[in-house]
Amino acid sequence: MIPRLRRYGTVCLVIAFMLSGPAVAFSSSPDSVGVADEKMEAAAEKAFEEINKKMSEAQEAYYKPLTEAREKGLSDKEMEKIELDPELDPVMVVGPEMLKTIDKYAGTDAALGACDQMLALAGRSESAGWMAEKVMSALKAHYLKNEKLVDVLRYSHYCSEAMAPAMCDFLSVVVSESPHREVQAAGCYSLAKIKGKKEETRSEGLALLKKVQDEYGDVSYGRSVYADKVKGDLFEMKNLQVGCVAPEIIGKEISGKLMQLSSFRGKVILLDFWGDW
Amino acid sequence: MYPHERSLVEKYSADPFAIVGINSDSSIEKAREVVEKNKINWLSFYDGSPGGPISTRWNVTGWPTIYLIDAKGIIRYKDVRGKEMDDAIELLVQEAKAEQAAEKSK
Repeated sequence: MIPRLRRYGTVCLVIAFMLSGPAVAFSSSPDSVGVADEKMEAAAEKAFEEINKKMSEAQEAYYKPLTEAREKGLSDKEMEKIELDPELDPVMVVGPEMLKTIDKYAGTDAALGACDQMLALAGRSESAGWMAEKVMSALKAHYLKNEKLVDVLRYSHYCSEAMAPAMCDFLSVVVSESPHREVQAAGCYSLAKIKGKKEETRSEGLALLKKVQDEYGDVSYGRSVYADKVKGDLFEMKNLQVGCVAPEIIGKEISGKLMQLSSFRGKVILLDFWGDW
Repeated sequence: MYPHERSLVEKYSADPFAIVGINSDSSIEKAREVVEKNKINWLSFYDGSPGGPISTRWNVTGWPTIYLIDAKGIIRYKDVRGKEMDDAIELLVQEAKAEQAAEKSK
């Protein structure tokens, strides 16, 4: 079994050589290109490791007042009053260096991971919005055809409202330019979710969700597929918005008694999805 | 969260207000234990798991998720927290009380 596999591997290698013909002619050998890439990747990994260390330190410094208050045993109410110094915000402290390093190692997987991290951090903070926009430019310039872009898109709809217009522009470019269906689907889905948040653009959001359902229904989303994922989103966008009549819930109370949501009509309801974990 | 919610139930005990939970703990025994241990003073549907039928239909992917529904059954706020949530509840309760008073005087 093993020798046969080896032989199969050799055959593939030969075919790969034949396919990459012209490229081989220009470089000294295909191996050296790979080694250079690997070296670049390793250097990038190391650089981002250093920055992440700084990021952890910055986070520790930023949250220090809270950590100290907790050690003193302050109550939640008192904790809420503590204001953190915006100048110590880890994104503001380490973000600029992170951006420079992303530029330096653009194209590597490590830099793509850093882009993801920066979008998550900067996309939710208004004063760091400009950094998120820089990251999107870097992604457009270096990763538009990259399959792994999907990892960055997955949570992009959780961006702040201020960030939403820039994010929508970016996602539209991704949907039309990416050659990978997984990336297109993730981009289209996130775009739909952002458009669906606001009443003015909700119909656009619904149309995009339907596009995801029709064109990308078979594309996998975690352990499921987009066709299933989108069902819940369509229901939410149509029936669970501010201004909608709350859909009925009929079920058993924890005690075992039957209960229905509409029997609370006449009262203001705080509907709380909770669990103790 | 529990102490604050408990205090809301107490604060509005004479007003048109209720907390309705959808609990997604892994077993009903666990849910009952949590209710008892934390002196939870509001009712909750038991949904079986985070992927239970109610949470799935309501497209809930993060916990806690909060909706504020007015006395007429209309969704008025989604995912409000902290002071914003308390202010919104106060506003809706006052609105409901004003409507009740208007009904009575008809």
